[in-house]
Formats: sequence, structure tokens, C-alpha cells
Amino acid sequence: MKARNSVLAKSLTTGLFFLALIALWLTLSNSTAVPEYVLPSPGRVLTTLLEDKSILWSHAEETLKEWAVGLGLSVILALMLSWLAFASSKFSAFLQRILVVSQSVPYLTIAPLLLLWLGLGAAPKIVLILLTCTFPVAQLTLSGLISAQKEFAILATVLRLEKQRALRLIYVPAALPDFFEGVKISVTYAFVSSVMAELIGSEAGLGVYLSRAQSAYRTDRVMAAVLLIVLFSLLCTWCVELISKKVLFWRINQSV
Amino acid sequence: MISIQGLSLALDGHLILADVSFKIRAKSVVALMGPSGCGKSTLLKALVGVLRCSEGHLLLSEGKSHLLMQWNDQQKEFALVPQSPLLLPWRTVLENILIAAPEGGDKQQAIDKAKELLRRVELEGSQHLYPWQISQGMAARVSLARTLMIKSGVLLLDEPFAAVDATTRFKLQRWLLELVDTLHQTAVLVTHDPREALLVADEILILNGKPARMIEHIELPERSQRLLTDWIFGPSAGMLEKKIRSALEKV
Repeated sequence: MKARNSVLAKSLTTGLFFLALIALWLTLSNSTAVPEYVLPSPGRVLTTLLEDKSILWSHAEETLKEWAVGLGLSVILALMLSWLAFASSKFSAFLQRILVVSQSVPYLTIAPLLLLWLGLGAAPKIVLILLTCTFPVAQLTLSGLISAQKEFAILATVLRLEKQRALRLIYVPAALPDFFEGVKISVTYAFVSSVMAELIGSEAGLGVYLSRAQSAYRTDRVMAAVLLIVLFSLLCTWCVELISKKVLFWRINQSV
Repeated sequence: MISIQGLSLALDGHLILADVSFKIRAKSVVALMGPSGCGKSTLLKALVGVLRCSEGHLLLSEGKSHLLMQWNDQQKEFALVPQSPLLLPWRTVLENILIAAPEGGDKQQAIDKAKELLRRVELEGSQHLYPWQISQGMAARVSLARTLMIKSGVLLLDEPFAAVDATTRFKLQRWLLELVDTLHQTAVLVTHDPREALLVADEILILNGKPARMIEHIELPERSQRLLTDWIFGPSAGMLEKKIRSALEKV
């Protein structure tokens, strides 16, 4: 009961915070001190959203496609890498070193290169998503597997489970919470990567819409696109959260 | 009869067990005692193959001799109930036990066996509960049932009830011995309480020293005799208890 109350209180404060933000936006946009091309009113942005519905959707489709393919491939690649690293300690040591270095590489700076090499289609965006999203998922999954092995290795030996069977029955399920953590991070990373790459150069996508609106000083369109991207990102994160709660039912109950 | 000869084991360059030798009679219950941290758990882990021995032989009753140095099929002679239950939280009680079923075996047969074991540990009504829904004492019994799923000559119990309170622990230990008796299972039980050892074991082994050696071996009278005649309250039991305590306190 107490827990439920605190959850309610938390969502209430979050809701109030956003209401306050919108109120601030309303007041600022209504005041004469801020011109419309700097800050259009929420109503204006909503109208633009509706007016540009079909063109926005066609761009969003492209971005979402890149996002889905990129994230899907990242997850598959990450699972393969962490499995390989778990199976071979030599590869694990190599991967750990690469992961440490890779985390200090600002991948967005590679985007222009990727565009030169791969053109203006979806390919460079997908590669960029792969670069930014594979490593968090791989690293978290691998560390989940390793800590599961530390905890349960004695059980696997005592029960005489072969390595593959122990992996399937014990280590993989035990590493799932970490895997989902990685996916949750990557969901947003993937949006950032695809939109940023589109901003730099592309034929279609929300980033293209965004950059065109920006060069035309159509702040309402920029805000409409930003709103849409934030909405997609929140929605996708929420979906992953939902799936992970379903799959990891034992984790939530365990902590109560 | 199984005998262990000259078992030595080092961890990170430190010798933990030195030249440990002892015998386990078939269908007997051996209480393994020793001060905390002397290497009792290490010894059990070595027997079951979790830790690697640097030296030692295992002699089985058929006259076969095996090096304890390598993990091999012969170490399957032992099955361990570890100190903490290590139940998998995403599996129900029944599924946790089934994890010990051999791969590719008859599924229904495994389920029947698991259910039978659950009945034996008095948990038949809890098979569909998850580990976070049961008490520590119940978890310890699930862990025991899980280990009983695998065939073994000697059941090794590493204080499986250490996490439960003293009253419940005593009850569980008495119950455990009845179970071991009805299953005709040879068992080695690590315990800290001399009176408990005197009550439940057929013989007592005491491990002490750094590195640890077997410093005492005490044979007890027939268990049924002890239980019938209130032997535990008599003078000879008192003498033995004194002997155990002094062996445990030796530095």
C-alpha cells in the first residue's frame, strides 16, 4: 500500500513538473517580448503537427525504419559478441579493451565519413546506430553473464550441468535484466544517431524535415518535429520497459 | 565403504587442506566438525569437483582407485547440498528441482521423481510457488530435493540449514536424518553443534589446524541404541562432548 502511494506521489510530481513547463511555455509565447518565430505557442505547434501530418509521417516512417533495423541488428550483433566473449576468455579480454576505447569515441563525428562512403540512404544511419548501440548492449549483457557465472557456477557443477546447458538454463536468464538495461539505453541512442545523421545529410527522415524547417526559420515546424521525436523515443522506451517487466516478473516480485 | 587418502588442496598458493584422509561407511551419517574457516566447506567442494585438489586418492569399495586431482566421472560419487540454496528466482519450486534432471531423459519420469521428492521434503503443496514466496527453511529443503534428483553414493550437506533460526534448524536436521535413513543414503553433514553431532551421526570427524588435517575420529554407539536409552544425557556422551570441544578449540 505504502509502495503504491509513493508511486502515485512520484507520478503526480512528474505530471505537475510537465504541466508547469507547458504553463511557462504558454506564458512566454503569449507575451509580446518573445516573437512568434522564436517561440511559437503550443497551439501553433499542434496545428503545424496536424497540417504537416502526411509529410511528417512519411519522414517519420524513414526514421523509424532506420531505428528498427539499426536497433534490431545492434541487439543481434551484441548478443553474438557477448556470447563469444563469454565462451572465450581471450576474446573477452580483447572485447573489453575495445569497449573501453569505443566508449570515448564520439561516433557522430564519423557520420560525415559514413555519408561519403555509403550515400544518402538508410545505410549510413544504420551503420551509425550499430556503432552507438551495439556496445552498451554487449557490455551489459556480458557483465550480466559473468556475474551470473560467479554466483551460480557452483550450482552448475553440483548439478553436473554441461556448459551449454548451464548457459541456457542459468546464465542467460540471470543476465536478462542487464540485457534489458542495455536495450533501454540503446532505444534512445538509436533515435539520436539516426536523426543526427539525417541532419547532416539525407534524402528522407525527420532529420531532413528538421533541417529544412530550421533553415526556413519555421520554429513551429522544428518544435513539431522535436516533439514527435521525443514522443517516439518515450513510446519505444516505454514498450521496452513493458516487455522487460513482463519477462522479468521475478525481479520485481523479488525486491518487494 | 569409500575412502579418501592424502587429500591436499591449495587456494591462491595457500595450503588449506593437508594430507586429509578418512573413510565413509556405506549408509552411515558422518558429522564433519571444525572451527569456522578451517576448510570444511572447502573439503566438500573438493570432493564434488568444484575445487581442484592438488593431491589425493579416492578409493571406492570395488577396489577402484582414482586420482582426486582431475575432475572425472568418479567424483560423481558425491552430491553436494550447498550452504546457500541458490534457487533460480524465475523458476517455480518444481522447475528448480527439474533443473537437476538429466538432459534428454524421460520428461514425465523426471517430473514424477521431482514430485515424489517434494513429497518427501514435505513441500508437495508448494510446487508452483516461486523462491521469493517461500521461507528460508523451505528454500533449504527445495535445495536438498534438487540435489537428491542426481544419483550419488554420498550426500554432502554443507550446513544447509545455517540460514534458519536455531529451533527450526534443529527440527529440520532431525527430519533430514529420518529422510536419509529412509532413503538408505550415506551422508556427510557439516555441523557446529557437538550435541547435535552426538545425536544424529554415526561417527564424528574433526578438522583443525592451518593447513587443516583430520585431528579426531570418534565412533559413536549404534544410533537406535542411543535414541532408546537416553544415551545423550549419560556420562559417556558428556565425556565425548568434552573431547569434541577441546578438539575444536585446539589451535
